[in-house]
Amino acid sequence: MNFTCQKRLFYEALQSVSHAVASRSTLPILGHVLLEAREGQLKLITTDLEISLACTLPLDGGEEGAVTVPQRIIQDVVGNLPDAELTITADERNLLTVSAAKSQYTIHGLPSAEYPMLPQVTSDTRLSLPGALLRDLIRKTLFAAGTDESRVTLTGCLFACDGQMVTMAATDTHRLALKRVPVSGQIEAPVSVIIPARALQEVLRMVGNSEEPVDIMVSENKILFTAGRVQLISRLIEGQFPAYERVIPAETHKRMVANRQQLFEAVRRASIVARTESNKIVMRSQDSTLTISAETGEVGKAYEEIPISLEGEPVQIAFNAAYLHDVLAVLDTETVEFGLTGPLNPGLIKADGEAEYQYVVMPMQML
Amino acid sequence: MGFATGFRGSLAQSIQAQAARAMCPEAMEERVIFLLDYDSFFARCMQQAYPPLRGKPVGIRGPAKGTAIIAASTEAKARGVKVGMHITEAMRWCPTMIPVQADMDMYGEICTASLRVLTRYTDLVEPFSIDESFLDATDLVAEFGDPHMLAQQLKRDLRAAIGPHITCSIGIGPNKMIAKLVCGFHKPDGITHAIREEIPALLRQIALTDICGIGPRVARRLQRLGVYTVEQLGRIPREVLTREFGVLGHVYWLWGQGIDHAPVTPYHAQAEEKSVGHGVTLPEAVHTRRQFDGVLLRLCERCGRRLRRKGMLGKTVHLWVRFDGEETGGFGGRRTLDHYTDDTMAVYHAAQALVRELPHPVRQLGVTISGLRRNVVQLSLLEDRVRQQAVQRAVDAVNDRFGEFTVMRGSLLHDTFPLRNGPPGHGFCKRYAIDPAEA
Repeated sequence: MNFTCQKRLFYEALQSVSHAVASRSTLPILGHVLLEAREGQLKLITTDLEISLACTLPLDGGEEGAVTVPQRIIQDVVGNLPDAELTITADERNLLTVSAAKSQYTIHGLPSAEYPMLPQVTSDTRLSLPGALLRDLIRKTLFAAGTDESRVTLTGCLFACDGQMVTMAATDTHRLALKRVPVSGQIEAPVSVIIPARALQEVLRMVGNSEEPVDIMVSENKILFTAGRVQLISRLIEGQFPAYERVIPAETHKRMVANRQQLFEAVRRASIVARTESNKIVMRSQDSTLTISAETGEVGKAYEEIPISLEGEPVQIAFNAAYLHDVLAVLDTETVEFGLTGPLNPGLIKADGEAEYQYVVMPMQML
Repeated sequence: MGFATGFRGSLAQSIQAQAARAMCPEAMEERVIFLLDYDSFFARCMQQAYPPLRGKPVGIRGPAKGTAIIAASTEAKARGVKVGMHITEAMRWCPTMIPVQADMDMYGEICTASLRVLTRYTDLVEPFSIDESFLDATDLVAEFGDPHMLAQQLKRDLRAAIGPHITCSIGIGPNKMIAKLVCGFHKPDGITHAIREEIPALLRQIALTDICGIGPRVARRLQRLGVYTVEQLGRIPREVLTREFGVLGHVYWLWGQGIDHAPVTPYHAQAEEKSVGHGVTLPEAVHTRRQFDGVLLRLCERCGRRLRRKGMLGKTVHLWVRFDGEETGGFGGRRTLDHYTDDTMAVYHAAQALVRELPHPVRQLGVTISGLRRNVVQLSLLEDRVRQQAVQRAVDAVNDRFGEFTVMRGSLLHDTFPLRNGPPGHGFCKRYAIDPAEA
């Protein structure tokens, strides 16, 4: 293998695949990146067997071939080289040499044949979503996914599409975040799969601030995201996502509207006290004022007041501060609407002007 | 000291005096600590309550359908009966043995009555187990003049309160470790007093595992560090021990020199519990996963009930398992839930998830729940926790009234192993962590 490449391009490509490297695996080769020069393209591939990342760069001539090298080492070496054209060669002993101006590094690699095959996703179920839209879908739901590995179906987001609407939902049984957006285009059959949380975090990173469309291909047990030069393949979580529609309250008797930023800041401050124990904060309404309080034996007390407009009976309810903080942090509207019924019934948070977003949160017992 | 509010004046003063001593290591070793240990407690209680049993070999079997000997009278022990034996084996050793079913309620009451006697003397009484109590007698000895006389006076008062047939042995030393160690030297009905000058010679005579707190597993780890005797334990550089055992290494090192700074913590002054747990040594090893799960569920039920009785919820579930016959074989682990719970099944599922397979028959296991809090029920979207709580409260109420496991889960029926049903609240609990600053 032998090619030349701009340092900046090569370094960005290395960074873009760095998150699928399994640095602490019992299989050392999973800490490597596979470099493959073929048919005028350089392909960089990493995998931790859960998710795989691939990045393609166009090449200008050179000699074909493939090798794997430790990802951390090559990324560090290339990152610290001056901005210049790099010459990269690999020999049959799997030694990779990176040369730039007056620097030359030779890195011990492993034969490319030992690297796991990149999983193939073949399917007719394809759709394309604008980057901004996909980012919004993930950002507003992913945080509500569970982390308990014994309930594996909750450790990802439901991704469903019926041809007109895309739905993304996540729940850890204490709260549910749900977002729907209309899409154009058509699909063969409705899709409903669970994507692991980690893969979605990676998709967020991959999409970045780009507005470019992201192509999605869904097969029976894998999903492929393509954004520009980078591809991500993830396995899907098998199993049934809970019937989330059932937990969304059909109607709530009280409706409280507050300034999102004010509520967010009050909850964030109160949780400094609350988080030392169970993170419980108590919300009480008094006419057009909402008080938020927390008390722990270890730290002390917190008390906050914010103006609200309230329809219905006064409010008195306790929540885990983190569950409110998480949602208020990702919303970007001026006001939020909080639908409540009783102290033991779920609360429903909606962002003003965002009809397709719903967040259901269960309270904590007041006692 | 800020913790005097709310205590009776005398207790507050006792604790303050104790705390003042704790400031000065020399004063800590000037203490006079008693360990009072009843002789063959369960059996003696029975002999006290039922005079025909006196002077005869008595074997106490576990409550309900217990088939293992959980305690034996001095007469039975003299003929080879050992705690943990199956009843048929015990009968082979001693055919005249009278098997008697344990009466935990009675033991609990006798224990309470004896604590009442001890707290007449001082508030610094720490119940260590159902039949053992520590007593900080430093200030009392100043009044009585002689620890030996005080010990005899205590015994007289106890005999008057709970009956002459229930005898106890008393160990006296400058700290808890020495008091506990020497208590067993003259049994039954003995008094052993170790003065400071005798301690070095004493430590040369004992094995590592004679120290309460050093079991075979710790001893084995110490041996790997080249420590075979108590003397060596006190002489090895402290850092070697702290590297292996963390803060406990410091404690072991002091023990090796006959020093123990642990205070006698009165029951009322004990900090809120940091964890609750229950463990069991099975009369015979379990071989199948089904039997194992039965025992595990029963332990989880105990923990869950204990949490509910105290109105606490816990977040982290710990499990430990020891295999049969191998001192060091076993496994353990912990799992932190995403919410606080007092629900038996939630604890059970978390504990069960820590068990992959059982490569060997299991002889001992225990479940502990830590991260305890009050009033922190997080409701769930998918389960009706309010309803589950109501069901569990109803079941608890029935069991409170008619006895443990009157209403129980169907799966507990697979659990054919007798477990000791201790009086309510008797499991193990950890109240204070060792202060890392001390190490």
